[in-house]
Amino acid sequence: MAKRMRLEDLMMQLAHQPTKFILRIGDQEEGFKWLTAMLNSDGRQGNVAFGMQCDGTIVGVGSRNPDEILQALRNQVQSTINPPLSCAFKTADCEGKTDVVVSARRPLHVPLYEYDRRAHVRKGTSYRTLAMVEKIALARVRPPLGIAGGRIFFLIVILLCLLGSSGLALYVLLTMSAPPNPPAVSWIPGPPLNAWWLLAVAGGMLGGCARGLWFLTLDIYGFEHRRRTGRSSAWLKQIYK
Amino acid sequence: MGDDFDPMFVWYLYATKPLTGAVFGFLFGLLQRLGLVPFLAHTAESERVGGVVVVAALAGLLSETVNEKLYTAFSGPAKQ
Repeated sequence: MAKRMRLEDLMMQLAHQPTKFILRIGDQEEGFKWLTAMLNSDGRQGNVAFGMQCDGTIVGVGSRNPDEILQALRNQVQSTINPPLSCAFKTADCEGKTDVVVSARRPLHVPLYEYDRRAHVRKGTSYRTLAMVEKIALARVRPPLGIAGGRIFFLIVILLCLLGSSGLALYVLLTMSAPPNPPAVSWIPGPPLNAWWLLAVAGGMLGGCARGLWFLTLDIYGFEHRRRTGRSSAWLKQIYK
Repeated sequence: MGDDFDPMFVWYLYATKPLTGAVFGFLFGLLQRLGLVPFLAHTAESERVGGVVVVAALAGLLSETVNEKLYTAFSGPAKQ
């Protein structure tokens, strides 16, 4: 289902993102080569506007039913772009003419997209086809980009650190709230009851651990969501707003 | 933090949160003992100790927000 937008909103959106304007809907091959070239560049995102000029003038995608055109574009994406690309389709109408904008974003775990088994990359105002050696080099370099090495190790270290700190704080709070004589476990040294500062430090540490665990969970969820889908989590955006 | 950025690149920042929480807990516990934070300040000693823990835990939980407020209070509003 394509999203229908006002022309002004669409132009505003395209003004801030790399966009290729293709006048004729028949130039789909050129349009999707451009799309993959934009996705394969470091910006990782791109739009192709069919039936539109760069000043916002709508030429239109012809007299065919827009739904048929969208279906044809979807089929073209599915059959020619590898690995499978998830695109967003938007349409805008002006004076009875319709244009179609195809938008996509390259997730971090995808090194590059190929159109008809050839990979292209944007170079200024044009694009060029990558040689096999360049494709292999990109595939080697890109997967670690944006992903920390040894992340599972560091995740375990942080979790141990936060959970250990929480345990320590809870231990201090519980031993201080327990009656001093006789101690519950004889070999555990109990802090003096009047050490208010120790209670304050333990309380603050517990609060800090809760905050750390909460934000660690949110940040990891946000990163994984973006890595897998290529889009930011709407739920997380609401929370961080 | 932007979601393009793996949080594991700055893994040590999460490890510092209990420490910043402890520092802010101590500061606010001190303020509560001095009577500058009125939460449970005029009660019996045993309840007052509970107040220290609650105030300190809240200060630790909201340490970054508290930090920003204190920074704004002492340095003035951020310049545009």
